[in-house]
Amino acid sequence: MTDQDLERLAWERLDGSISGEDDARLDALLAADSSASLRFEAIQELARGLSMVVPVSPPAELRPRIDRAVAATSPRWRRPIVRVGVWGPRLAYLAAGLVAGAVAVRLLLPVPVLDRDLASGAMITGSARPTAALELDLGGGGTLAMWRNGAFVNLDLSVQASHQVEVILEARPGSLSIERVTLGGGPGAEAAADGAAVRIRTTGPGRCAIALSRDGEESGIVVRVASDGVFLAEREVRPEELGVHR
Amino acid sequence: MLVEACLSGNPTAFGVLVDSYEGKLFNVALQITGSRDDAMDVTQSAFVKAYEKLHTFNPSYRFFSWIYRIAINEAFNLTRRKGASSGLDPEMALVKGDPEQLASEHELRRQLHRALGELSPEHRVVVVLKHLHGLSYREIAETLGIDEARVKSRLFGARQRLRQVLEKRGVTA
Repeated sequence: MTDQDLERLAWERLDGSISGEDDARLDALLAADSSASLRFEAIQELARGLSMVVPVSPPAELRPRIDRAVAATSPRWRRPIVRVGVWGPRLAYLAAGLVAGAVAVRLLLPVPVLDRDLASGAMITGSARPTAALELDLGGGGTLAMWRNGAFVNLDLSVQASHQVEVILEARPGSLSIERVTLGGGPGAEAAADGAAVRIRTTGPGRCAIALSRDGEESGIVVRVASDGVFLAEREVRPEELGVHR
Repeated sequence: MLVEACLSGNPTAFGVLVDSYEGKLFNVALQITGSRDDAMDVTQSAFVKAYEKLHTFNPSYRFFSWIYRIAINEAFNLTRRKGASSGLDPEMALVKGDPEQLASEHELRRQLHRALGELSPEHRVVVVLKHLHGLSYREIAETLGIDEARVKSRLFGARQRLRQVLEKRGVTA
């Protein structure tokens, strides 16, 4: 057996990866050859020396540096990306973040009924919501109801959380535009369309009814929810889920 | 789980990951670069890269392998840019054991660190992952993106070199 073989077997034994056969070979060698035995002891000592090296604590200033650097980045996965997502599991975070302020007290003011001239794009409000409307639960922090009404998609957003909530709807670029927004109460909400997306922001409990017009209905609408700037949930609403209401 | 939570928008999840790996990455970086300042830069940069690329992490692999690899690559890149590190800071590691042992082992520790500093970064990193972080051959292979046979041979070469350096200095480990 060469010195290299001895060294290999010695390390394998110390690493605990030696085979039974090699283990027996090593034992036989160490018993028969005192110089091999001395060499093995030296290797054992080196292993012991290496085991004395223990990790050091990082400098205290490192953690704040990391936090600042991470906070300053805007990774791709946090930017709006249209993709089919799963609403359910992610709502746990919405619940954690939003429900804290959403006590059982209903602070919402009634929304006036304006369901008169649908063809002209007037609002369908909560009270006029069809029973078949698709309702997305915002994890206890509110609800978003959606339904189709001829050429329009109507939304009824009811927020109970005291945080800022942002709902973003995305469809094929240029296919969504806002026809009308009605605020039903609460501290405030605003809606804006920018190309492929409609953004609705609320700053506290309240209700907001919005009518969107769509140019073509072949594709779905991706609904994304964020709270205080943190993305929380995403779901693609397929056209057939919105039903038909005339 | 934490990666998924982070990608789902949980603002504290990445902080938990930093808590878990800050020390480990700092130590790997420290052993490769030999400098506390460089190790801090490497650790910070590794976390930023991991955060930016979090969506590319494949959950069928272990997170520690993924983030270790990022940190190791960052450390290698830095040492290449700056030239090979000249050795390790002898004060950067501590010794296990009671106070009486510390005095008698001080010289061995110092020599061991100097010898580690003479290894190439590629050799040093396998020794560090094996002995400082206690990773298995398989975990080292996953971390470095090489097969286990290569890990064994690299580790063998690194240990041989380490012993040669110590013997040359008249140190019996």
